[in-house]
Amino acid sequence: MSLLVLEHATKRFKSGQRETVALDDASLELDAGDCVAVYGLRRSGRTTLLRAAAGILPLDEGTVRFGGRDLSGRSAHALGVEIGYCSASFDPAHGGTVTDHVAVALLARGVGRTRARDRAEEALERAGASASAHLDPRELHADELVRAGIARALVTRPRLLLLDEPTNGVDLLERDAILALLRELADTGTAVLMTVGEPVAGADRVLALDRGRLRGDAVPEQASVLPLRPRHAEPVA
Amino acid sequence: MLALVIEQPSYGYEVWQRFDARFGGLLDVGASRIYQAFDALLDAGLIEEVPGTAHASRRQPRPSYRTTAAGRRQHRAWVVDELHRDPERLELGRRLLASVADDAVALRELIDRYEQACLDEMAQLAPADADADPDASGSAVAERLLAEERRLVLEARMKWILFARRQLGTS
Repeated sequence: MSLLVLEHATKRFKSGQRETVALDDASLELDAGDCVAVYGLRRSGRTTLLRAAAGILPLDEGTVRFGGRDLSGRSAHALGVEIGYCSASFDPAHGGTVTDHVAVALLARGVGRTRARDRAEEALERAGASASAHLDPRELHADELVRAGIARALVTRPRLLLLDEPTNGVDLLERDAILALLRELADTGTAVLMTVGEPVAGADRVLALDRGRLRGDAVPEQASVLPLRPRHAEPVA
Repeated sequence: MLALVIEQPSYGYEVWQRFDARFGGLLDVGASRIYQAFDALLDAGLIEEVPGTAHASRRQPRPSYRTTAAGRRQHRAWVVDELHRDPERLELGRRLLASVADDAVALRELIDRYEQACLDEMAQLAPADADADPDASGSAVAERLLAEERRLVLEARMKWILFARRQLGTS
């Protein structure tokens, strides 16, 4: 049984007389340890796909299952705990340090302040963002913002990490380092699903998205229970 | 061959070993062909014997070779030529596409298959070693440059596939 299963997911948006099909009969499966990149240009439906996978977007047709359970009935519990979502921007508008921002998800769930800070620092270290921990998010460079966003998504130790364009606006060397990080996270068992606007290295599978239609190998070669497949790097300790 | 001699002047068998390590699987060439290639490069004046190496020691009773200035010029020209072979490739594609241009179903199937091949190739892209020191190894830099070139080529192909689908009125 795959960790994440989208089946015939369809989502339409209406604006006046115009109807846009943002997701058109999209099916996709992800196992633990998978790293899947979805390539698409702007307005191809990338963010809609991720929001559907996170269970935060009601579908017009189709289903999303996470761990075998229908996400539409339990989205509030899955997102932010078992599913980490890293949006295209870190949204550093509200002051505080990066550590404060990363710890918010835990504080909101009643975790004590000290424990939440420890976990936030651990997540920042895992994301390679320890050097940014004490900074105001508004001081961060593009790649540091991405890493801080990944840390914020990782702080709840999710089984699935969703990332919206994690390499957007990042210079080439930092882009490769971020992709290597995502590969490492997958190799240690976290399922990684990212959207990208350019071909990227490190994914097990690459799918293409165009006008909501998903193409490519939507299903892993051996859909099975929790495969761990170290490929390019040693697992992160 | 010329590139390997530029990289490190040496004798025939050692160059063949490096050739095999570098290009094995892409260009499988036996050791005997290497000596023929050495002769051709010598005749063309692109490499020359390093003076005094033919019988320099009992361990290495054979000549070492190094490139001449003409050889280095020829090598640079050849590398540039190899790097932009795309016009030839595009012309080949044009002629192949022309064979199915009147068959929309065949064209769409061709584009679908081409897209899948590109997606598979993307999945083969290995992340660059983030810890590699670009100053430490010339070959690491070269690997990175080639990987980026391959990635950008794939990006162009994917955009072409989107364009082709729009032209064919399909999604």
